[in-house]
Amino acid sequence: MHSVRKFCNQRFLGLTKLFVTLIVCMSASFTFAAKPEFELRIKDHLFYPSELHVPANVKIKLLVLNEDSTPEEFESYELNREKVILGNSKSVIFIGPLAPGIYPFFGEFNITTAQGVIIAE
Amino acid sequence: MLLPVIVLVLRETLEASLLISVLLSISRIYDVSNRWLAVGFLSGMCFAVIYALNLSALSESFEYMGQEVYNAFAMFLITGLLFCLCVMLSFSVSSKRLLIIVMAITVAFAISREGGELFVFYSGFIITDQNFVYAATSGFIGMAIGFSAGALLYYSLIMAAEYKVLKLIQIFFITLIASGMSLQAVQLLIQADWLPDIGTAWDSSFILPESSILGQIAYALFGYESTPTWLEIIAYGIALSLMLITFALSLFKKSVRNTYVAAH
Repeated sequence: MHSVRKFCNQRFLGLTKLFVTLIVCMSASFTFAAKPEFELRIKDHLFYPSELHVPANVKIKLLVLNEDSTPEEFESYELNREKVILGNSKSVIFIGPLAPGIYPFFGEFNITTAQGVIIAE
Repeated sequence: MLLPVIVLVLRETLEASLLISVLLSISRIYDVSNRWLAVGFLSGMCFAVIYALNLSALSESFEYMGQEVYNAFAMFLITGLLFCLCVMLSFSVSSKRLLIIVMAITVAFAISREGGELFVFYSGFIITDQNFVYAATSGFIGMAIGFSAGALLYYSLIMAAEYKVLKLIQIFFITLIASGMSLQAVQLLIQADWLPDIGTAWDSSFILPESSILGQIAYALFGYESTPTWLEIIAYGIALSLMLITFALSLFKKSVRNTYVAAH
């Protein structure tokens, strides 16, 4: 009986170790996988650059800097993204992995001027 | 200048307005006073102001992912509350108090999200002191169209259907709205990089573009996305099946009870 319990305990310990290792590896790959970074500026209700070239098939980190005093909403139907960027502040939007193609985006609060495209290639 | 603001406000209003009209029709068949709506609406507005005022701190939290995390939380909460409503409707739970509490909280959270964004949008006009009157007028028109759509749905619901059919239609709408909400919540978590993007399921933008009026109504009613990811589809499927299973169980229970009554 005792040896059975000991065997179970050891087995349980082994499984736990394996589980912990897996979790650590997975979280490490999620957190530390280097994502290419790109910068997008908003100035006078315009995007700079208005045409952003990014690599296809990888997740990218888009750093959005709003240099206007007014808030803006980064939005794109093609990218499935929507995020408010407050005035004089910065924010981060993760995008992709994208198939090669052209993905328009716009500033919803100033849609007549704030337009741009992301080109994945 | 005018039209984009009308469209923007309409988009923000439509979702809440359609949800409220379905809830109002439920409130009608349960014959409860509509005070829950006032309470939900006003507390939603208060939450919206608090959201807008703290958006800067919220945005910077969770490594700039605070907005996504909060909105996903709110949407999962609304999904859960709508699921409760679905259970109550399916099994004809008669507690009016529970019903109005669930509906008031649902409205409060729905208003807080959309209203908060509108407050932020209008704060831009107040900061620059430009065109505020134009923007406010346009916004009023957008809101009026949004509420009209809600009113249209409400009156079609209560006029077109008998009591028994009405309940089915309500369960149907609640199921669609809740599934759409869970899809959007998962989309936000993908955007925050909390969930992986495992690929786009399809592209239906050439049939029904999301930017079109119909696309917007479909988005507000059942969370239509023209290019959904697989994970969003899974979330939608889970929410939808949970609701359908609940409804099927209620039918099963009823038929068992009927057989029992018939046998005795």
